[in-house]
Amino acid sequence: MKINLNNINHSYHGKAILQDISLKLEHAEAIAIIGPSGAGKSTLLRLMSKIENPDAGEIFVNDIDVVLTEAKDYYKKVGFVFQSHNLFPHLTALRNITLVLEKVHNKTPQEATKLAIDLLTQFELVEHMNKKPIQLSGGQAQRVSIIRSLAINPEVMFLDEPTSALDPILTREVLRTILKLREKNMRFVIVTHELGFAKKVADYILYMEDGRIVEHGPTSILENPKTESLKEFVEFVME
Amino acid sequence: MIKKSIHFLLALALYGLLVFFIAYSYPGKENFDMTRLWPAGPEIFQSWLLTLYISLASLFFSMFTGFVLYLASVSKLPFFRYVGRIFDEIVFGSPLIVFIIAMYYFIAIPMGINNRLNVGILAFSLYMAPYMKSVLLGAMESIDANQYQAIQVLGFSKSQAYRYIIIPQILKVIFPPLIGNLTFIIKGSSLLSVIGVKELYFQIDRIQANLLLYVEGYLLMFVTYLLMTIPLVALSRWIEKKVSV
Ligand SMILES: Nc1ncnc2c1ncn2[C@@H]1O[C@H](COP(=O)(O)OP(=O)(O)OP(=O)(O)O)[C@@H](O)[C@H]1O
Ligand SMILES: [Mg+2]
Repeated sequence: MKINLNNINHSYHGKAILQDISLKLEHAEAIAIIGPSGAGKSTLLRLMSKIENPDAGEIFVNDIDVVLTEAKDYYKKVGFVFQSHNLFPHLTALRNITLVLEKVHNKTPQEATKLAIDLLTQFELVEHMNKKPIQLSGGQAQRVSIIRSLAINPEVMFLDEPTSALDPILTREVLRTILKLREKNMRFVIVTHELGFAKKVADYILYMEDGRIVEHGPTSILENPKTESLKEFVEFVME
Repeated sequence: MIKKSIHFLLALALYGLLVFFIAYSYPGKENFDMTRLWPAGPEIFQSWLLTLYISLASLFFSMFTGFVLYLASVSKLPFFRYVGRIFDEIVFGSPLIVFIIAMYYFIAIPMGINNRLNVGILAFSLYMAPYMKSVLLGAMESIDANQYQAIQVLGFSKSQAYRYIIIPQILKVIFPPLIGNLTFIIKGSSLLSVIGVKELYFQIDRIQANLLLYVEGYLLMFVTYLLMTIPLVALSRWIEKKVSV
Protein backbone atom coordinates (compact mmCIF):
# COMPACT_ATOMS: atom_id res chain seq x y z
CA MET A 1 0.00 0.00 0.00
CA LYS A 2 0.99 3.59 -0.46
CA ILE A 3 0.77 6.08 2.36
CA ASN A 4 1.44 9.75 1.91
CA LEU A 5 1.01 12.13 4.83
CA ASN A 6 1.65 15.78 4.18
CA ASN A 7 2.14 18.21 7.07
CA ILE A 8 -0.70 16.92 9.18
CA ASN A 9 -1.69 19.00 12.16
CA HIS A 10 -4.49 18.14 14.49
CA SER A 11 -5.63 19.46 17.84
CA TYR A 12 -8.37 18.85 20.38
CA HIS A 13 -9.76 21.86 22.21
CA GLY A 14 -6.84 24.01 21.12
CA LYS A 15 -4.27 21.49 22.32
CA ALA A 16 -1.98 20.32 19.52
CA ILE A 17 -2.04 16.52 19.37
CA LEU A 18 -0.36 15.84 16.04
CA GLN A 19 2.33 18.22 14.84
CA ASP A 20 3.61 18.46 11.30
CA ILE A 21 3.45 14.81 10.48
CA SER A 22 4.81 13.94 7.07
CA LEU A 23 5.58 10.54 5.68
CA LYS A 24 5.87 8.96 2.27
CA LEU A 25 5.76 5.18 1.87
CA GLU A 26 5.52 3.45 -1.48
CA HIS A 27 5.53 -0.25 -0.70
CA ALA A 28 4.64 -0.98 2.91
CA GLU A 29 2.45 -4.04 3.39
CA ALA A 30 1.91 -4.04 7.14
CA ILE A 31 2.67 -0.94 9.18
CA ALA A 32 2.85 -1.04 12.95
CA ILE A 33 2.47 2.21 14.87
CA ILE A 34 4.08 2.03 18.28
CA GLY A 35 4.85 4.49 21.04
CA PRO A 36 3.95 5.49 24.56
CA SER A 37 0.42 6.19 25.69
CA GLY A 38 -0.88 9.59 24.56
CA ALA A 39 1.60 9.81 21.69
CA GLY A 40 -1.21 10.31 19.19
CA LYS A 41 -1.19 6.85 17.61
CA SER A 42 -4.95 6.39 17.69
CA THR A 43 -5.45 9.95 16.50
CA LEU A 44 -3.26 9.36 13.47
CA LEU A 45 -5.10 6.14 12.69
CA ARG A 46 -8.46 7.88 13.02
CA LEU A 47 -7.32 10.51 10.54
CA MET A 48 -6.04 7.94 8.05
CA SER A 49 -9.34 6.10 8.28
CA LYS A 50 -11.39 9.30 8.00
CA ILE A 51 -13.18 8.87 11.29
CA GLU A 52 -12.05 12.45 11.66
CA ASN A 53 -10.52 14.92 9.24
CA PRO A 54 -7.29 16.71 10.19
CA ASP A 55 -7.25 20.42 11.01
CA ALA A 56 -4.62 20.83 8.31
CA GLY A 57 -2.60 18.69 5.95
CA GLU A 58 -3.16 16.06 3.29
CA ILE A 59 -3.57 12.32 3.60
CA PHE A 60 -3.29 9.90 0.70
CA VAL A 61 -3.88 6.19 1.10
CA ASN A 62 -3.23 4.31 -2.14
CA ASP A 63 -3.54 7.63 -3.96
CA ILE A 64 -6.99 8.24 -2.52
CA ASP A 65 -7.25 11.76 -1.16
CA VAL A 66 -8.70 10.82 2.21
CA VAL A 67 -9.71 14.32 3.26
CA LEU A 68 -11.51 15.16 0.04
CA THR A 69 -13.10 11.83 -0.79
CA GLU A 70 -16.67 11.16 0.36
CA ALA A 71 -16.81 9.18 3.60
CA LYS A 72 -19.19 6.62 2.16
CA ASP A 73 -16.92 5.98 -0.83
CA TYR A 74 -13.86 5.69 1.36
CA TYR A 75 -15.48 3.21 3.74
CA LYS A 76 -16.23 0.94 0.85
CA LYS A 77 -12.49 0.60 0.35
CA VAL A 78 -11.08 0.41 3.85
CA GLY A 79 -11.86 -1.52 7.01
CA PHE A 80 -11.48 -0.51 10.63
CA VAL A 81 -11.14 -2.66 13.75
CA PHE A 82 -11.47 -1.02 17.15
CA GLN A 83 -10.13 -1.85 20.59
CA SER A 84 -13.42 -3.45 21.56
CA HIS A 85 -15.22 -5.66 19.10
CA ASN A 86 -18.15 -3.37 18.20
CA LEU A 87 -20.31 -6.14 16.83
CA PHE A 88 -24.00 -5.30 16.73
CA PRO A 89 -25.43 -7.06 19.78
CA HIS A 90 -28.81 -7.98 18.30
CA LEU A 91 -27.33 -9.84 15.32
CA THR A 92 -25.58 -13.19 15.12
CA ALA A 93 -21.92 -13.40 14.18
CA LEU A 94 -22.92 -14.43 10.67
CA ARG A 95 -25.49 -11.67 10.25
CA ASN A 96 -23.02 -9.09 11.53
CA ILE A 97 -20.89 -9.96 8.53
CA THR A 98 -23.57 -10.44 5.89
CA LEU A 99 -25.50 -7.27 6.72
CA VAL A 100 -22.63 -5.05 5.58
CA LEU A 101 -22.02 -7.14 2.49
CA GLU A 102 -25.66 -6.99 1.44
CA LYS A 103 -26.60 -3.45 2.33
CA VAL A 104 -23.39 -1.53 1.70
CA HIS A 105 -21.63 -3.70 -0.88
CA ASN A 106 -24.72 -4.82 -2.78
CA LYS A 107 -24.07 -8.55 -2.61
CA THR A 108 -27.02 -10.89 -2.86
CA PRO A 109 -27.94 -12.70 0.37
CA GLN A 110 -26.61 -15.95 -1.13
CA GLU A 111 -23.27 -14.42 -2.12
CA ALA A 112 -22.94 -12.69 1.23
CA THR A 113 -23.72 -15.82 3.22
CA LYS A 114 -21.36 -17.95 1.17
CA LEU A 115 -18.52 -15.46 1.52
CA ALA A 116 -19.09 -15.03 5.25
CA ILE A 117 -19.24 -18.77 5.93
CA ASP A 118 -16.11 -19.25 3.83
CA LEU A 119 -14.20 -16.74 5.91
CA LEU A 120 -15.61 -18.00 9.20
CA THR A 121 -14.46 -21.47 8.22
CA GLN A 122 -10.97 -20.33 7.30
CA PHE A 123 -10.66 -18.56 10.62
CA GLU A 124 -12.08 -21.48 12.60
CA LEU A 125 -15.14 -19.64 13.79
CA VAL A 126 -17.82 -21.29 11.75
CA GLU A 127 -19.25 -23.27 14.66
CA HIS A 128 -20.02 -19.98 16.39
CA MET A 129 -21.70 -18.31 13.44
CA ASN A 130 -25.21 -18.44 14.89
CA LYS A 131 -24.24 -17.00 18.25
CA LYS A 132 -24.99 -13.48 19.36
CA PRO A 133 -21.95 -11.40 20.40
CA ILE A 134 -22.81 -11.81 24.07
CA GLN A 135 -22.45 -15.59 23.68
CA LEU A 136 -18.96 -15.28 22.21
CA SER A 137 -15.73 -14.91 24.17
CA GLY A 138 -13.99 -11.56 23.87
CA GLY A 139 -11.41 -13.08 21.56
CA GLN A 140 -13.99 -14.74 19.33
CA ALA A 141 -16.01 -11.53 19.11
CA GLN A 142 -12.92 -9.53 18.17
CA ARG A 143 -12.01 -12.10 15.52
CA VAL A 144 -15.52 -11.94 14.08
CA SER A 145 -15.22 -8.19 13.86
CA ILE A 146 -11.89 -8.54 12.09
CA ILE A 147 -13.56 -10.86 9.61
CA ARG A 148 -16.40 -8.38 9.23
CA SER A 149 -13.87 -5.78 8.04
CA LEU A 150 -11.99 -8.30 5.96
CA ALA A 151 -15.12 -9.58 4.21
CA ILE A 152 -15.55 -6.43 2.17
CA ASN A 153 -12.09 -7.10 0.74
CA PRO A 154 -10.72 -3.69 1.65
CA GLU A 155 -7.63 -2.17 0.10
CA VAL A 156 -6.32 -1.41 3.57
CA MET A 157 -7.37 -2.34 7.08
CA PHE A 158 -6.81 -0.13 10.11
CA LEU A 159 -6.57 -1.81 13.49
CA ASP A 160 -6.33 0.13 16.73
CA GLU A 161 -4.94 -2.03 19.52
CA PRO A 162 -7.30 -4.85 18.71
CA THR A 163 -6.09 -6.88 21.66
CA SER A 164 -5.86 -4.29 24.40
CA ALA A 165 -9.26 -5.22 25.83
CA LEU A 166 -8.33 -8.91 26.07
CA ASP A 167 -6.44 -11.11 28.49
CA PRO A 168 -3.16 -12.75 27.33
CA ILE A 169 -4.69 -16.03 26.15
CA LEU A 170 -7.42 -14.37 24.11
CA THR A 171 -4.82 -11.91 22.84
CA ARG A 172 -2.85 -14.79 21.35
CA GLU A 173 -5.77 -16.08 19.32
CA VAL A 174 -6.53 -12.61 17.96
CA LEU A 175 -2.87 -12.05 17.08
CA ARG A 176 -2.91 -15.38 15.23
CA THR A 177 -5.87 -14.12 13.27
CA ILE A 178 -3.97 -10.97 12.32
CA LEU A 179 -0.94 -13.01 11.26
CA LYS A 180 -3.30 -14.91 9.03
CA LEU A 181 -4.47 -11.66 7.46
CA ARG A 182 -0.86 -11.08 6.57
CA GLU A 183 -0.54 -14.52 5.02
CA LYS A 184 -3.55 -13.67 2.88
CA ASN A 185 -1.68 -10.54 1.75
CA MET A 186 -4.11 -8.18 3.36
CA ARG A 187 -2.48 -4.79 3.84
CA PHE A 188 -2.99 -3.06 7.14
CA VAL A 189 -1.90 -0.40 9.59
CA ILE A 190 -2.00 -1.56 13.19
CA VAL A 191 -1.49 0.31 16.43
CA THR A 192 -0.09 -2.12 18.95
CA HIS A 193 1.64 -2.38 22.29
CA GLU A 194 2.93 -5.86 21.51
CA LEU A 195 6.42 -5.21 20.20
CA GLY A 196 7.21 -8.87 19.69
CA PHE A 197 4.12 -9.16 17.58
CA ALA A 198 4.92 -5.99 15.66
CA LYS A 199 8.30 -7.48 14.76
CA LYS A 200 6.65 -10.62 13.49
CA VAL A 201 3.77 -9.15 11.53
CA ALA A 202 4.92 -5.74 10.32
CA ASP A 203 7.37 -4.80 7.61
CA TYR A 204 7.41 -1.14 8.58
CA ILE A 205 7.44 0.61 11.95
CA LEU A 206 6.32 4.11 12.90
CA TYR A 207 7.49 5.16 16.32
CA MET A 208 5.50 8.09 17.72
CA GLU A 209 6.03 10.30 20.72
CA ASP A 210 4.34 13.58 21.70
CA GLY A 211 2.38 13.89 18.48
CA ARG A 212 5.33 13.34 16.16
CA ILE A 213 6.80 10.47 14.24
CA VAL A 214 10.17 10.28 15.95
CA GLU A 215 11.57 7.37 14.00
CA HIS A 216 10.35 5.18 11.19
CA GLY A 217 11.76 2.50 8.99
CA PRO A 218 11.74 -1.21 8.24
CA THR A 219 11.08 -3.50 11.19
CA SER A 220 14.80 -3.90 11.76
CA ILE A 221 14.86 -0.46 13.43
CA LEU A 222 13.50 -2.22 16.49
CA GLU A 223 16.82 -4.11 16.71
CA ASN A 224 19.00 -1.10 15.90
CA PRO A 225 17.17 2.06 16.89
CA LYS A 226 18.79 5.26 15.66
CA THR A 227 17.13 7.56 18.16
CA GLU A 228 17.63 7.49 21.88
CA SER A 229 13.85 7.64 22.48
CA LEU A 230 13.04 4.52 20.47
CA LYS A 231 15.94 2.71 22.08
CA GLU A 232 14.61 3.55 25.53
CA PHE A 233 11.09 2.63 24.53
CA VAL A 234 12.13 -0.76 23.18
CA GLU A 235 14.19 -1.51 26.28
CA PHE A 236 11.37 -0.38 28.52
CA VAL A 237 8.71 -2.50 26.79
CA MET A 238 10.89 -5.57 26.39
CA GLU A 239 11.78 -5.65 30.07
CA MET B 1 -41.82 -25.29 41.03
CA ILE B 2 -44.57 -26.84 43.17
CA LYS B 3 -43.28 -25.02 46.18
CA LYS B 4 -43.45 -21.71 44.39
CA SER B 5 -47.08 -22.16 43.35
CA ILE B 6 -48.03 -23.00 46.94
CA HIS B 7 -46.50 -19.73 48.01
CA PHE B 8 -48.49 -18.00 45.32
CA LEU B 9 -51.74 -19.57 46.48
CA LEU B 10 -50.98 -18.65 50.07
CA ALA B 11 -50.38 -15.06 49.04
CA LEU B 12 -53.69 -15.05 47.17
CA ALA B 13 -55.40 -16.51 50.23
CA LEU B 14 -54.05 -13.65 52.33
CA TYR B 15 -55.72 -11.14 50.06
CA GLY B 16 -58.88 -13.25 50.01
CA LEU B 17 -58.93 -13.11 53.79
CA LEU B 18 -58.52 -9.38 53.67
CA VAL B 19 -61.51 -9.04 51.35
CA PHE B 20 -63.53 -11.37 53.55
CA PHE B 21 -62.64 -9.35 56.63
CA ILE B 22 -63.64 -6.10 54.98
CA ALA B 23 -66.91 -7.60 53.79
CA TYR B 24 -67.63 -9.19 57.16
CA SER B 25 -67.13 -6.02 59.13
CA TYR B 26 -69.07 -3.87 56.69
CA PRO B 27 -72.27 -2.63 58.38
CA GLY B 28 -74.65 -3.01 55.43
CA LYS B 29 -73.47 -6.45 54.42
CA GLU B 30 -76.96 -8.08 54.59
CA ASN B 31 -77.92 -6.00 51.55
CA PHE B 32 -74.76 -6.71 49.55
CA ASP B 33 -75.82 -7.90 46.12
CA MET B 34 -73.65 -7.63 43.04
CA THR B 35 -76.45 -8.84 40.77
CA ARG B 36 -78.35 -5.61 41.28
CA LEU B 37 -75.73 -3.95 39.07
CA TRP B 38 -76.68 -6.30 36.26
CA PRO B 39 -79.19 -4.00 34.49
CA ALA B 40 -76.44 -1.40 34.12
CA GLY B 41 -74.19 -4.02 32.55
CA PRO B 42 -74.29 -2.80 28.92
CA GLU B 43 -73.65 0.77 29.97
CA ILE B 44 -70.73 -0.27 32.15
CA PHE B 45 -69.29 -2.44 29.42
CA GLN B 46 -69.52 0.44 26.98
CA SER B 47 -67.67 2.73 29.36
CA TRP B 48 -65.06 0.01 29.91
CA LEU B 49 -64.48 -0.03 26.17
CA LEU B 50 -64.30 3.75 26.16
CA THR B 51 -61.61 3.66 28.84
CA LEU B 52 -59.70 1.13 26.79
CA TYR B 53 -60.08 3.38 23.73
CA ILE B 54 -58.94 6.47 25.62
CA SER B 55 -55.93 4.61 26.95
CA LEU B 56 -54.80 3.19 23.64
CA ALA B 57 -55.39 6.46 21.81
CA SER B 58 -53.48 8.38 24.47
CA LEU B 59 -50.67 5.86 24.30
CA PHE B 60 -50.56 6.24 20.53
CA PHE B 61 -50.56 10.03 20.50
CA SER B 62 -48.19 10.32 23.44
CA MET B 63 -45.66 8.41 21.36
CA PHE B 64 -45.76 11.31 18.92
CA THR B 65 -45.68 14.02 21.56
CA GLY B 66 -42.92 12.11 23.34
CA PHE B 67 -40.96 11.82 20.11
CA VAL B 68 -41.30 15.54 19.42
CA LEU B 69 -40.12 16.28 22.95
CA TYR B 70 -37.26 13.86 22.46
CA LEU B 71 -36.22 15.66 19.29
CA ALA B 72 -36.39 18.95 21.16
CA SER B 73 -34.25 17.61 23.98
CA VAL B 74 -31.50 16.44 21.62
CA SER B 75 -31.73 19.52 19.39
CA LYS B 76 -28.58 21.44 18.59
CA LEU B 77 -30.48 24.68 19.14
CA PRO B 78 -30.65 25.55 22.86
CA PHE B 79 -33.99 27.26 22.26
CA PHE B 80 -35.70 23.93 21.54
CA ARG B 81 -33.99 22.25 24.45
CA TYR B 82 -35.31 24.96 26.78
CA VAL B 83 -38.81 24.72 25.36
CA GLY B 84 -38.70 21.00 26.09
CA ARG B 85 -37.19 21.41 29.54
CA ILE B 86 -39.82 23.93 30.61
CA PHE B 87 -42.57 21.63 29.39
CA ASP B 88 -41.02 18.79 31.43
CA GLU B 89 -41.05 20.96 34.53
CA ILE B 90 -44.68 21.94 34.01
CA VAL B 91 -45.75 18.32 33.69
CA PHE B 92 -43.58 16.92 36.46
CA GLY B 93 -44.75 19.70 38.76
CA SER B 94 -48.49 19.48 38.20
CA PRO B 95 -50.93 16.74 39.20
CA LEU B 96 -52.61 15.13 36.22
CA ILE B 97 -56.05 16.23 37.42
CA VAL B 98 -54.98 19.88 37.50
CA PHE B 99 -53.41 19.55 34.08
CA ILE B 100 -56.61 18.12 32.60
CA ILE B 101 -58.82 20.77 34.17
CA ALA B 102 -56.51 23.55 33.01
CA MET B 103 -56.38 22.16 29.49
CA TYR B 104 -60.15 21.91 29.26
CA TYR B 105 -61.49 24.95 31.06
CA PHE B 106 -58.67 27.42 30.40
CA ILE B 107 -57.46 26.42 26.96
CA ALA B 108 -59.95 24.28 25.04
CA ILE B 109 -63.20 26.02 26.06
CA PRO B 110 -61.91 29.58 25.39
CA MET B 111 -60.74 28.33 22.01
CA GLY B 112 -64.21 27.04 21.30
CA ILE B 113 -63.26 23.37 21.39
CA ASN B 114 -65.68 21.39 23.49
CA ASN B 115 -65.37 17.79 22.49
CA ARG B 116 -64.55 16.53 25.96
CA LEU B 117 -63.28 13.18 24.83
CA ASN B 118 -60.81 14.57 22.31
CA VAL B 119 -59.61 17.29 24.64
CA GLY B 120 -59.13 14.64 27.31
CA ILE B 121 -57.08 12.43 25.03
CA LEU B 122 -55.05 15.41 23.88
CA ALA B 123 -54.40 16.56 27.45
CA PHE B 124 -53.35 13.08 28.41
CA SER B 125 -51.06 12.74 25.39
CA LEU B 126 -49.36 15.99 26.29
CA TYR B 127 -49.04 15.04 29.92
CA MET B 128 -47.44 11.72 29.01
CA ALA B 129 -44.94 13.28 26.60
CA PRO B 130 -42.09 13.69 29.11
CA TYR B 131 -42.56 10.12 30.30
CA MET B 132 -42.49 8.84 26.74
CA LYS B 133 -39.44 10.96 26.06
CA SER B 134 -37.66 9.27 28.97
CA VAL B 135 -38.52 5.89 27.53
CA LEU B 136 -37.07 6.91 24.17
CA LEU B 137 -33.96 8.40 25.72
CA GLY B 138 -33.38 5.23 27.70
CA ALA B 139 -33.79 3.16 24.58
CA MET B 140 -31.41 5.34 22.58
CA GLU B 141 -28.83 5.16 25.35
CA SER B 142 -28.93 1.39 25.15
CA ILE B 143 -27.01 1.80 21.89
CA ASP B 144 -23.51 2.88 22.84
CA ALA B 145 -21.10 5.18 21.03
CA ASN B 146 -19.05 2.21 19.83
CA GLN B 147 -21.91 1.02 17.71
CA TYR B 148 -22.33 4.39 16.06
CA GLN B 149 -18.66 4.33 15.23
CA ALA B 150 -19.01 0.87 13.72
CA ILE B 151 -22.03 2.06 11.73
CA GLN B 152 -19.93 4.91 10.38
CA VAL B 153 -16.84 2.96 9.34
CA LEU B 154 -18.82 0.09 7.85
CA GLY B 155 -20.39 2.65 5.54
CA PHE B 156 -24.08 2.25 6.42
CA SER B 157 -26.29 5.12 5.33
CA LYS B 158 -28.43 6.86 7.94
CA SER B 159 -31.62 5.14 6.86
CA GLN B 160 -29.94 1.72 6.74
CA ALA B 161 -28.52 2.31 10.20
CA TYR B 162 -31.97 3.09 11.57
CA ARG B 163 -33.69 0.28 9.76
CA TYR B 164 -31.29 -2.57 10.45
CA ILE B 165 -29.38 -1.57 13.55
CA ILE B 166 -30.95 1.14 15.70
CA ILE B 167 -34.69 0.51 15.51
CA PRO B 168 -34.52 -3.28 16.00
CA GLN B 169 -32.54 -2.75 19.17
CA ILE B 170 -34.81 0.00 20.39
CA LEU B 171 -37.91 -2.13 19.89
CA LYS B 172 -36.46 -4.74 22.18
CA VAL B 173 -35.93 -2.46 25.13
CA ILE B 174 -38.88 -0.18 24.62
CA PHE B 175 -41.78 -2.55 25.30
CA PRO B 176 -41.63 -3.05 29.06
CA PRO B 177 -41.46 0.67 29.94
CA LEU B 178 -44.05 1.40 27.27
CA ILE B 179 -46.51 -0.99 28.87
CA GLY B 180 -45.64 0.49 32.24
CA ASN B 181 -46.74 3.83 30.83
CA LEU B 182 -49.89 2.27 29.41
CA THR B 183 -50.99 1.00 32.83
CA PHE B 184 -50.30 4.48 34.19
CA ILE B 185 -52.51 5.86 31.43
CA ILE B 186 -55.31 3.39 32.12
CA LYS B 187 -55.37 4.28 35.78
CA GLY B 188 -55.02 7.98 35.07
CA SER B 189 -57.83 7.94 32.51
CA SER B 190 -60.31 7.84 35.41
CA LEU B 191 -59.39 11.50 35.96
CA LEU B 192 -61.00 12.48 32.67
CA SER B 193 -64.24 12.15 34.64
CA VAL B 194 -63.57 15.64 36.02
CA ILE B 195 -64.29 17.13 32.62
CA GLY B 196 -67.29 14.87 32.16
CA VAL B 197 -65.91 12.17 29.88
CA LYS B 198 -68.17 9.17 30.35
CA GLU B 199 -65.42 6.64 30.92
CA LEU B 200 -65.48 3.73 33.32
CA TYR B 201 -65.03 5.59 36.58
CA PHE B 202 -67.56 8.26 35.63
CA GLN B 203 -70.23 5.73 34.67
CA ILE B 204 -69.88 3.38 37.60
CA ASP B 205 -69.76 6.34 39.94
CA ARG B 206 -73.01 7.66 38.49
CA ILE B 207 -74.72 4.27 38.50
CA GLN B 208 -73.78 3.39 42.03
CA ALA B 209 -75.08 6.74 43.21
CA ASN B 210 -78.37 6.27 41.37
CA LEU B 211 -78.87 2.71 42.60
CA LEU B 212 -77.29 3.32 46.01
CA LEU B 213 -74.89 0.45 45.43
CA TYR B 214 -71.66 2.00 46.62
CA VAL B 215 -69.84 -1.09 47.81
CA GLU B 216 -70.83 -3.12 44.81
CA GLY B 217 -69.87 -0.28 42.50
CA TYR B 218 -66.43 0.25 43.93
CA LEU B 219 -65.78 -3.47 43.94
CA LEU B 220 -66.73 -3.63 40.29
CA MET B 221 -64.41 -0.70 39.56
CA PHE B 222 -61.50 -2.53 41.14
CA VAL B 223 -62.17 -5.63 39.14
CA THR B 224 -62.72 -3.90 35.81
CA TYR B 225 -59.54 -1.85 36.04
CA LEU B 226 -57.52 -4.86 37.13
CA LEU B 227 -58.95 -6.73 34.15
CA MET B 228 -57.15 -4.26 31.92
CA THR B 229 -53.92 -3.72 33.79
CA ILE B 230 -53.03 -7.24 34.97
CA PRO B 231 -52.94 -8.79 31.49
CA LEU B 232 -50.80 -5.90 30.31
CA VAL B 233 -48.31 -6.33 33.11
CA ALA B 234 -48.19 -10.05 32.38
CA LEU B 235 -47.66 -9.27 28.71
CA SER B 236 -44.78 -6.93 29.44
CA ARG B 237 -43.12 -9.56 31.68
CA TRP B 238 -43.48 -12.07 28.89
CA ILE B 239 -42.01 -9.76 26.27
CA GLU B 240 -39.18 -8.84 28.62
CA LYS B 241 -38.33 -12.51 29.00
CA LYS B 242 -38.59 -13.13 25.28
CA VAL B 243 -36.17 -10.42 24.25
CA SER B 244 -33.67 -10.71 27.09
CA VAL B 245 -32.08 -13.81 25.51
N1 LIG C 1 -11.58 13.06 21.34
C1 LIG C 1 -10.58 13.63 22.04
N2 LIG C 1 -10.79 14.81 22.68
C2 LIG C 1 -9.80 15.41 23.37
N3 LIG C 1 -8.56 14.92 23.48
C3 LIG C 1 -8.28 13.76 22.88
C4 LIG C 1 -9.28 13.05 22.13
N4 LIG C 1 -8.72 11.93 21.65
C5 LIG C 1 -7.45 11.94 22.08
N5 LIG C 1 -7.17 13.03 22.80
C6 LIG C 1 -5.86 13.39 23.38
O1 LIG C 1 -4.91 13.31 22.36
C7 LIG C 1 -3.72 12.74 22.82
C8 LIG C 1 -3.33 11.56 21.95
O2 LIG C 1 -4.35 10.59 22.10
P1 LIG C 1 -4.31 9.21 21.32
O3 LIG C 1 -5.52 8.46 21.72
O4 LIG C 1 -4.08 9.44 19.90
O5 LIG C 1 -3.02 8.54 21.96
P2 LIG C 1 -2.48 7.06 21.79
O6 LIG C 1 -1.09 7.19 21.34
O7 LIG C 1 -3.42 6.27 20.98
O8 LIG C 1 -2.49 6.56 23.30
P3 LIG C 1 -2.86 5.09 23.87
O9 LIG C 1 -1.66 4.26 23.66
O10 LIG C 1 -3.10 5.37 25.33
O11 LIG C 1 -4.06 4.62 23.16
C9 LIG C 1 -3.93 12.38 24.27
O12 LIG C 1 -3.34 13.36 25.08
C10 LIG C 1 -5.41 12.38 24.42
O13 LIG C 1 -5.77 12.79 25.73
MG1 LIG D 1 -4.80 4.69 21.38
